[in-house]
Amino acid sequence: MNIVGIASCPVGVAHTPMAAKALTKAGEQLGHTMKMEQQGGMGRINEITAQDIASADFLLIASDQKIEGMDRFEGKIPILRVNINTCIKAPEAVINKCVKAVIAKKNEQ
Amino acid sequence: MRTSMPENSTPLETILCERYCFLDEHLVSQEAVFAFVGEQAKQLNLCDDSSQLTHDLKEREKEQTTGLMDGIAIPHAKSASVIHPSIIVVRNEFPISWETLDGAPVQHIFALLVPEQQNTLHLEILSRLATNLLDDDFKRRVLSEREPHQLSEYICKKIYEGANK
Repeated sequence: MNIVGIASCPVGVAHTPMAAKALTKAGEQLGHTMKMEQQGGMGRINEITAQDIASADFLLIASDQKIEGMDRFEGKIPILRVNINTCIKAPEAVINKCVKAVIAKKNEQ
Repeated sequence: MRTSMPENSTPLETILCERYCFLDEHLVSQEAVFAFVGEQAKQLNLCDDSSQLTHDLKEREKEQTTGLMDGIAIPHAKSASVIHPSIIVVRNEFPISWETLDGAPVQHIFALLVPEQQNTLHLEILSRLATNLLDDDFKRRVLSEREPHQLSEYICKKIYEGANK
């Protein structure tokens, strides 16, 4: 799958890049294409573009807090939200679970 | 993202050096760790108000635990008391109770001190430490190195290498 994601945590210096790295690594190992945006202490890094969204299967939000620029995604692709620490601890499990959920939803429609 | 370091400055040594490494402490709790970091930061001129820093570390911890896995924690705070970004390393002789992702107690603390005003390059350096901690080889080395000088040099080297990736 093509997965886009946004990682964001309060200070934005540690958990944010860690979650982004962990998810990217795990996703690619599982055979997916990953693009992780970070929202944190250094502003927006690796921002997800309209082009990215057009070819993505779903958005994974690795965060418990408010995400900026959500209007980019409205009505476009499924959005899943997971606690950021869970993404750092078990990135493969998170991705597998999300992929499963998205496929299940697609089959419903 | 910036991928180069300024030529004539030595930003890494102001962020982490052997004097910022305390490798055989006997702190009894997470609270004691935050108080210790506040104290040492003040003595090292990294912050101008130790109780403010300690308070800010506690507040950030309440929002979301900084305990990771394998006995590592990365407490950090953006604080008005921080004079410039830095890393304080604390290794405790015995494990301390701490809420962690894997349930294990904490013995290796990497405290990240972040000033309120934005300075992207320095924040990037702190981030690189955090992401390096996801790497098994890096983790193994920093958890076992006993010499403050070797440890700070190794961490600075890996962080600098990250600049060129």
